[in-house]
Amino acid sequence: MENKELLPDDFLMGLFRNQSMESPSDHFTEGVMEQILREPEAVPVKKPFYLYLRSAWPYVLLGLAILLFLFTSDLPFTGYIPGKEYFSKNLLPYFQSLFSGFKSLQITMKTISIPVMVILAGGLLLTLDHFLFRKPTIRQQTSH
Amino acid sequence: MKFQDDNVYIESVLNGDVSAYASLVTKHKNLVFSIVIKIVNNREDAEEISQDVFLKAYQSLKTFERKSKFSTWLYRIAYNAAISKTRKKRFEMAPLEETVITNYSTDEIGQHMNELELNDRQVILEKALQRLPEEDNLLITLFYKNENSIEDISYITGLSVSNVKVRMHRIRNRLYNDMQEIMNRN
Repeated sequence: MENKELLPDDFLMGLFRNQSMESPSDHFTEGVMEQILREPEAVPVKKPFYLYLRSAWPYVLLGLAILLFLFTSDLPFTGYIPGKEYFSKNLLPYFQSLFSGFKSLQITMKTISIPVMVILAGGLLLTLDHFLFRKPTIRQQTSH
Repeated sequence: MKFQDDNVYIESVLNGDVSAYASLVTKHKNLVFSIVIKIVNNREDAEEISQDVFLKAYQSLKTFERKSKFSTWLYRIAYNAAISKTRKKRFEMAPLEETVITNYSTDEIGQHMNELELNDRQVILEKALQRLPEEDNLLITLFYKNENSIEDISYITGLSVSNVKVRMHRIRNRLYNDMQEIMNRN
């Protein structure tokens, strides 16, 4: 078959040009836009890394707390945990001395030591909150 | 309403201006709807599917690579959505049609048609198109009404270029024969 047989013929093109096309309802565009605006993240936004951390950190902390409990526990069954002996003998003393510098604060300056500890704890929590709980802007939510 | 190039609207949408998408919808809604309704044959279903098509296109806009025109890409989504809805196989191979023997060539048929009033010609065309299978109706509309190329139609329908050419040749001949037959009856 030669291509020239498929060249648009003027007669048919003229006929089709005058043919009316089916149209949807008058509110079609509105309907589409309503659906789109109902789902603001219809254009997929790449989830920032810290948003993953935001949902994972409680589980990480819980896991660490359980591990700490198991490694420092005297319960009979915990004796079989591999690495517990090494942790108790070599690493636990370091944890015990970690806050030894603050002991002097507690003994000599009681009126200061408590507020200092509170401020330190509060500062730590605020820092964690600042880096882990950063809220995405509206532009980040709706742009690509 | 005068429209800008599709890429202008696409850039705006990807830069966060969701409202720019409304212009794309308004610009292409008629042909999308026409494509869908030719396949599903039901106005309410066609409206719902067409809305889904635009929603799907919006959600996939980031993946549009601009190797083809936006309209071609959109019509492909529309075609696939309509076919999925009807659960039809894509372009089931229709049996070879017997060649209808007429005494007239396509040029002669065209001349006869030109003797008629414009309205009468449109009525005859409409009746002849209704006789065609939905997919053939869609093919010939894409080619002559929307002036899509053979390659575009191949991309939209998933048919090979050679397959589109073969079908277009048959559809065109059949359309002329049907128009002559309708004229003879009238």
